[in-house]
Amino acid sequence: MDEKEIAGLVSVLILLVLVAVIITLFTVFVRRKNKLLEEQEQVKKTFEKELSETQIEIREETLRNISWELHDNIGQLMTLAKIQAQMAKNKPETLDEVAETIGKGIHELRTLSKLINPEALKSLNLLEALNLEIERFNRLEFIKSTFVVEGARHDIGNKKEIIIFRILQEFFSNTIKHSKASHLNVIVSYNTDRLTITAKDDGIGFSSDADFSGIGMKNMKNRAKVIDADLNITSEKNNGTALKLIYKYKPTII
Amino acid sequence: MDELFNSVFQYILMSFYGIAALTAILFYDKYKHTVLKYFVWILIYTFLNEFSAKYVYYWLETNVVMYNVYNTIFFLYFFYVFYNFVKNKTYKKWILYSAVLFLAVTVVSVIVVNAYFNNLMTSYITGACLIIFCIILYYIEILSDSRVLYIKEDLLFWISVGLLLFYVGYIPIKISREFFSDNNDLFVTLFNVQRVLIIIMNSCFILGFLWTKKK
Repeated sequence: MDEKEIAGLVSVLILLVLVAVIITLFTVFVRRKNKLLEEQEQVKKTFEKELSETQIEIREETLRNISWELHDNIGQLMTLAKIQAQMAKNKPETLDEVAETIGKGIHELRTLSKLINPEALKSLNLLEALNLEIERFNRLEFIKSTFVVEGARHDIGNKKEIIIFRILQEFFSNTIKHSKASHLNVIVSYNTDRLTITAKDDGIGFSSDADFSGIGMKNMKNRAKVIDADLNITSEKNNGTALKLIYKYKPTII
Repeated sequence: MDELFNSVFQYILMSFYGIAALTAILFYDKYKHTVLKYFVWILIYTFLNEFSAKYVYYWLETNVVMYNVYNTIFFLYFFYVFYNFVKNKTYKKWILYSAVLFLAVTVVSVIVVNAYFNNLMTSYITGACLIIFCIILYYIEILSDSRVLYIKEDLLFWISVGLLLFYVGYIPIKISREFFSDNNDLFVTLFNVQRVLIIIMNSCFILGFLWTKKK
């Protein structure tokens, strides 16, 4: 073969190989990128869906709480006021007591109306919302509860806070409905790289796996997964139930 | 005509080396917190090396030793870079083995061949192949996580594209030149192809410096 031909052949070959490498690189990278983007889109969709469901549930829970509070708290006070007023027919000097009871009722009404104001609810952060919830338990004497915050608050994003709140709310309502517990302790601790929330009651607990896989539990686990948090619920028969949620801080993408 | 073409091409080549080094200096701020901060010195070194090679050749009648030293430093630096950038432990190990293998081959070559007059051919081919291997490891890793989404802003990605294209093209040139060393026509044609490869490589570097974003 002629020398020039060899040179030409080698050059063309090199060129072909180069083009092949570039095309391969390009396709591989673009494909992978699109796949990742699609996955992210999917994750985002799941998150949004879960979030809106959560918000609806929180709203329902709020309505239920209002009905409860109206019935158990304000309703009771009004009934008491009515009885006192009837008795005051004979003893006019007890009218002051009636006024006091009605005053208490008005105060409770005001607190309630402030609590359920959508504007106020929207601007609550996780700690304030939890605090209100715990206060309510104590006020209505459902259960003796304590709430402790450790470390300085780290903003993890409103949407994620809503989901975490709903997980805890579900846990609380299980505690109140089924556990027959008398005490509930909640600790929220903000560490340098993570948020850890522990909630523990001293109720009857549960041991069977059937209870573990209930719909409520599944929901909680699912939601923890959506925000990429680690959720652990442990329980022992007659020894209470404990929830532990660990969320590692990350730059907010969603 | 050929003479003119040759010298113009050479000037274009040198200017690409120069521009690459210059952009590296201009955008130094963007990457000074990574191990790529030494890359600017490598580029300046490259430029000086290429610039002075011709004069050294007139002076000492051989400049092969310059390239031998340069190539060894260049390869070792990139093993170091990939070792630092790759996070996977297994891959890190492979890169370390590659560097050790390259060093061993280089040392043996220096003993066997007179590095002052002769190209360290085996060492160069080994180094180039191993660098391609490291680049592929690096690509596999960035393809498997979310770094692929910001690939355009990744300086090392562009540098490795440049290196990959250059070595994929240059290894066959190097080998065929060894076989047909006394063949002038072949030498000239392949030398021009080599120059094109160098221009492509430096263009990749320049694009990388322009597009990279500070992390």
